[in-house]
Amino acid sequence: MLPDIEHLSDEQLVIECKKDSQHFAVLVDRYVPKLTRYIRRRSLATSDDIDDLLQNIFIKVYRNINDYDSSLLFSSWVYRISHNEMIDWYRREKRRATLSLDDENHDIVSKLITEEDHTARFSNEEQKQHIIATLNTLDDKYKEILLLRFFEEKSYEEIADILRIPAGTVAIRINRAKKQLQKKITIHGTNL
Amino acid sequence: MEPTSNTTEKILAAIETKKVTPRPKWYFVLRNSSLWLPGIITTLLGAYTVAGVLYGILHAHLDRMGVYREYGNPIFLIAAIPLLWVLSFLLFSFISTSLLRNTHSGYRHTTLQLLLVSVASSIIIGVLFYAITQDTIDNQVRTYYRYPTEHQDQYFGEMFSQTPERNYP
Repeated sequence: MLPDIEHLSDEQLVIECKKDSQHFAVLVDRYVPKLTRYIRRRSLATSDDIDDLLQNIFIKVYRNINDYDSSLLFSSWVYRISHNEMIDWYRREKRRATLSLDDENHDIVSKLITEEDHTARFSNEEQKQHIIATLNTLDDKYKEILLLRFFEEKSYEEIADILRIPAGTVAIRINRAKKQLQKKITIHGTNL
Repeated sequence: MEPTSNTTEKILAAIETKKVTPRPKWYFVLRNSSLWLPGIITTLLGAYTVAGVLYGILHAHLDRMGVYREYGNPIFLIAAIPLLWVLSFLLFSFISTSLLRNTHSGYRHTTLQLLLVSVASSIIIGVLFYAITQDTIDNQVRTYYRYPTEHQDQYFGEMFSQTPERNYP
């Protein structure tokens, strides 16, 4: 009987699963919903594609578990592997990264746009749809960083660890991404 | 622990079917060390070029070149800098910087920070190289020199004063 396994942190579970692989099942269980949502948001992958991607991601996580650096959050490490796996998948499938946002993400889009301007509000659903479409026209590196910051709610440090770039670069890139988004929205005549 | 979702179950089954096992710790230690190695080698090569630059400058006989300065050509000082060594140093510093970026935690630092670390390490080690090996280099240079050491000063003096009657250029 494993004592209070559910209450262990991710990092503790990693240490434990090096001794007993059963602990890995808890990690998989914890991250399947999060990564499914992440993959779904980042791509137009079908359910089968998502299953394949998740399988590849967790096989890599398990195979490389001894490479996990405890100075990182486990979630950052898993997201990094997922990010790389997604890039490989895009290359294999010859697809382009596409944000796929559903209704629950609309509030996040509002937050993204109005974060610095609290007076700005969306007046109708059409505008939100337009903003999501505009998000998809951004450069991939901007799209990815906005997704991690506003949809996955990662901190700058976590994003730096996931994308393997300095934290300062994360801040600059988010700023540029938001400017590019606002510029594109303005050009296309959506009044915020 | 029983898997709670169908997807988890499939993933765990795939791991079992494919007989996936964690790679041993030493594999990663070796791999991560191998990422550091090229960076260290290029930094050392950079240090070697720093020693070369120092040797070139400090043995350029600036005192004798002063003869040219009197003729209004101060640009001779640039000639005293061994450009090939300097260019090699810059090249190794840039290579070392990009190699350090690929290490495990290299991404946490900006390119400028990595470049500064690489350049500073090369300069410090280079100065040490020079301090340790200058006598050896000096001896080797003298061994292959056309004139014996005791005649060098006379030779340079005559050469820089461009004594036509002695057929110096």
